[in-house]
Amino acid sequence: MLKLPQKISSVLSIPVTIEVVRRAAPVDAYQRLEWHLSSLLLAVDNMYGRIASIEQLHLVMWALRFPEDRETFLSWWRGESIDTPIQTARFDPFLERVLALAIGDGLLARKGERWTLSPKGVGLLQKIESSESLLRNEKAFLKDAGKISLSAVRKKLMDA
Amino acid sequence: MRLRALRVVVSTEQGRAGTEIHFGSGLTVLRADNTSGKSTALQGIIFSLGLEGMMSPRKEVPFPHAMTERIELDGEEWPVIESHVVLEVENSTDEVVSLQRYAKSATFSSDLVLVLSGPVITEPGEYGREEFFVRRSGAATRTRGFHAFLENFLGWNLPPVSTYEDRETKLYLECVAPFFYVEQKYGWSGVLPRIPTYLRIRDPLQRAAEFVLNLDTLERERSIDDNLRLLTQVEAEWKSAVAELRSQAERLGAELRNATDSPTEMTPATTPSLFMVTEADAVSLEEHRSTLLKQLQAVSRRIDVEPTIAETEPKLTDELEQIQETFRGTVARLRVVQNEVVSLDAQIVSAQKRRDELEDEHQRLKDIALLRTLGADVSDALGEHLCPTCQQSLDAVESQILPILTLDDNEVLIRGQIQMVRGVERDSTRRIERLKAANVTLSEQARSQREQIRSLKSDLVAPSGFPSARDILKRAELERRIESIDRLDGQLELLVDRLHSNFAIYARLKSILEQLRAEEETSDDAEK
Repeated sequence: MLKLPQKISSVLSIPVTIEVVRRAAPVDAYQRLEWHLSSLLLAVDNMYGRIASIEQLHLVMWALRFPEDRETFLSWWRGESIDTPIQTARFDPFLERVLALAIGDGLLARKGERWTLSPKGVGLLQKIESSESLLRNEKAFLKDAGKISLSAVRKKLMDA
Repeated sequence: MRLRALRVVVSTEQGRAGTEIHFGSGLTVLRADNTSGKSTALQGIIFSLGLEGMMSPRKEVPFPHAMTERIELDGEEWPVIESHVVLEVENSTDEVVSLQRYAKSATFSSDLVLVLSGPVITEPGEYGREEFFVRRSGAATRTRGFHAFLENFLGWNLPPVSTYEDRETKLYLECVAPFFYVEQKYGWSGVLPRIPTYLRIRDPLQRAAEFVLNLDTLERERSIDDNLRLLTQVEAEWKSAVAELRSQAERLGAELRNATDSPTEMTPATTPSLFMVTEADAVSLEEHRSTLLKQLQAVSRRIDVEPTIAETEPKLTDELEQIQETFRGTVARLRVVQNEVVSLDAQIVSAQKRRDELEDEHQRLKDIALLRTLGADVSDALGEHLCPTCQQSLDAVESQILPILTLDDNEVLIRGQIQMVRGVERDSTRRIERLKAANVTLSEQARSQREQIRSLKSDLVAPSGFPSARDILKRAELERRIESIDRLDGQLELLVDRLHSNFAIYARLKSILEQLRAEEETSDDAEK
């Protein structure tokens, strides 16, 4: 809070207080926890054997963010030639935090170096699945991609 | 309609079983022990009226085992060979018929109802017999359909109603019958009956209630539906008429203005008009025509009275230089227009891409609001936006710049951006349309100038004493252009007539609809 010097107050002859407040900043939906956490559950469920490694998750969560990335990913996954390179080296620190939160919240469980859905996570996933319109684009993308296995991801990334 | 008597008959090798119930003119109470057949008798009434479809869309015969498979007679079970019911009914004009329908028979299908023209149970005798089909498509409408017969026998006139597919169909008897029958299991739980929905009729309960209570609303709803259908037709015709003229205008490098795509946007003051477009400005079709006409007159005069080539050679050389200069200018302008079209195309593509992203984002923000509710009881992060371990706010995890915008404000922001991008798309599309029209005009000009150059050149090498080939060519071309403009103008006149008459119909339909909607219920209905 900023108080005006006495001089100005007296000139105006009324008490003046100026409050400076920082403007709230918009946040991309994919950076919002609700979206990231829920999409993460969908992604883990879509991995082969319903178990996900960090490589699989980084790749799929990167692709899920924007419509263009989703299309690029699908073309690449189907073995078609693509204009934009796949972000093989991009490890998103935000994903690591969301994974930790999901463990803390009891939605995911660790199995060695990999993650799987806990019963609580399965419960929430069912709720998400039951609403057709909810995360519609994300679900459609994962359905198009089909089950994603770790070996296929590693092979594709090696070839990339 | 009054029920007079019911007969249920089951035949086995051991003999016949069954019952006969006579109904008095007042209230009839059936009293019997459990499992002695009260419900079967009631089902028999429904079955003989072909109304079992009001309870289920299934086609099976709705009878217990004893009517269709095996029946116990004298302590022993016997297979059922044949079973049927006969219902004797009387209508409001004292006409009596008996309805016989087989649940199991080697001869008669259960889709048949035999209508006997007399009281077969109470006064046995020889009566005329007719066969009607039921539970098949057409049963309510075709002459041999049993429900069409029953409707007629009852002296009813079931109204047409709308289906979910926006087709018109008859309000089926199956929808009305539940008002006269209380189903044992669910029936007493509320005043309103269960009306079958598989018949695809829109608001079947309401429609049936209106019919049973004879409300005027039904007629009103039907008028609204009819008017709405007409309104859609008028709108479609309007749109196609405008689109057709617009494309014809484009072919001539003209632009149709003041023609709205829908009658809703039209006011009596808006009269469509045609303009010839260049990249800089536009002139009305009439003005353009009079310019062309002046040019035509000048050319014709030249051909008829002006001196021959030999006399005008120095003038022709000057003109050739001039027209070559103009031609270079036209080509340069054409190139500018074409470049702008390419760049606007790119702008539209990028705006569309941005809009896709923003719409995706907008959808996600709405999803997030729902996820907060869904996750409230399972996840601290989703429900409370708190860390499950330390219970502190997670805002700082999402963004380094705090405070972050609330979900609602963020949604408003994205919505605003979507509107802005849509505006860019709309403006660019409009500009591109205009440029495309200008492109046609300029290309046409360039073509004509090229021809003029060619004919001027040939005039300069032609034998003296000939009239100018360029002028002859020019005259032919001007005549052709004026002719196509006149044709387009004639079509515009037709369109204006069509739009005005359509607008009158549209306005009339609108006012009828408003009136119909305003009369929520008639005073008679309120009384009923």
